[in-house]
Amino acid sequence: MLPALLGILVLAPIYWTVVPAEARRAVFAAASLAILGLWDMRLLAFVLAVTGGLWWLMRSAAEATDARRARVLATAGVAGFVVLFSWNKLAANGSGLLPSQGGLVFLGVSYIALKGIAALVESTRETYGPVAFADVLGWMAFLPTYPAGPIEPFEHFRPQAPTFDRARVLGGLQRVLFGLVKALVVGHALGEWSAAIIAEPGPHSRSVLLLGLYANTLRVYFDFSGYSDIAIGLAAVFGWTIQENFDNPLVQRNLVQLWQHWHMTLTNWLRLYLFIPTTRALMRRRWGHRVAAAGGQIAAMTSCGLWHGYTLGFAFWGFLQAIGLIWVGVFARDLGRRLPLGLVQWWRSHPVAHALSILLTFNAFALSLIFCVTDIEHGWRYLARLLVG
Amino acid sequence: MPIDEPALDAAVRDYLERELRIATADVGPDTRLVTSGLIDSVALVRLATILEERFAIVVPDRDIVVDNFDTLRLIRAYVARQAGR
Repeated sequence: MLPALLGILVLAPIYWTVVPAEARRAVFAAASLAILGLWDMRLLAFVLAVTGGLWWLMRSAAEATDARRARVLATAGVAGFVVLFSWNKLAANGSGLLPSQGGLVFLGVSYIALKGIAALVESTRETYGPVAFADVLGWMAFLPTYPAGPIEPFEHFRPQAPTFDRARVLGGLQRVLFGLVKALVVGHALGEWSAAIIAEPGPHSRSVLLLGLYANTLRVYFDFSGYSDIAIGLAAVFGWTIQENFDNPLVQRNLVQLWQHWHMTLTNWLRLYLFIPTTRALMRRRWGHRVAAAGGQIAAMTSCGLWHGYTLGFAFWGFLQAIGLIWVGVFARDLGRRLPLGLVQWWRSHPVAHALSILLTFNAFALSLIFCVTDIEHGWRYLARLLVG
Repeated sequence: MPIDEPALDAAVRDYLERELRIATADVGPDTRLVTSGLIDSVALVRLATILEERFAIVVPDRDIVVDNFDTLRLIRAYVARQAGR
């Protein structure tokens, strides 16, 4: 990874000094595609084919004279992305399906699928107007976000025209370096330490088991946010601004706020394309708003779990997130209405209550993450040993 | 169609106070409701439904975003636009 990253950064001075401003979008897209082709020509063909299909569907859905035809086209495209995503996930699970598919991990098919689905839905909503193939290609093939996002929305990316800004370029370089240290040094060290404890909890005390879960949580955070920093920094070096992905998520006072600050572009995607449509569809069917919101959370967060990995552990982890979000958004709110207003306001404003809320939220999230790194049975055994000895 | 702004403000404040237990004395026209964390996604969907029922407007799913609901001023502007359709 490091040599590839250095190779890309070395190109930045040429990009800024030789390439005319009006050609930078096209040159960046061409360079992204060339790097893909150098990695594996099949990846290049894959991206061109997926982008071509997506662009045709976006254009056809936007130009459709009746809404039903637009919905049919978009639904077909969404189904195609779900199949593509599932195929990729099953291969990643080591099912033996297409072992030559490893390069798609580099490409980040999970992210491509979410970007494509969003673009199709927005096309039926007439968000974009006419779309040019070059714009869609530049967006889908955008190199900095290949392996780990963020999920840059098309409407945010399309109007950008890279212009040189010394402070932004230097800030980008600093961000890349910061991200490398977070992901490859801190995250890696925490991962090495916690993985051994989680794999073999037997010889360890309960306090070490708890520290193992904390280290695992911090590992996921440093690893994931580090890669986001690298992507955002690399984009900035070449004059692009892409959306932020993490904003101190582990010091939030409830699970709703944690998810509003954790992998924010994914949370936003889930809210826009799963939670709100599901909840409102259930409300229109005369489900009460509490039950509808619970249904929306379960649909969104279980999908979130499966998006991270096609295993029962990830699905269960997503379901646990939904339960936590339902607690905060529905039951705790109902409870709050029955309590004296003064007590509710004390809980919201007192520093001790604030610290306690952060501690509870962090612990709930850390405990749930065990199901992302091991199977459900082992996860329960680990938690049982931690909580009851 | 002009909207009854005092009635709209009262409906939003009533929702914040009664259902979310938020003291609205300090909530001004430009107080951030969503980006400050006062209102989350569940509450936002509920607020959209209340506004649909009270002001006879349609709030499409795609409109339930920060840009339309982050402040009282934005909510007023949004409801006025939808009422004019």
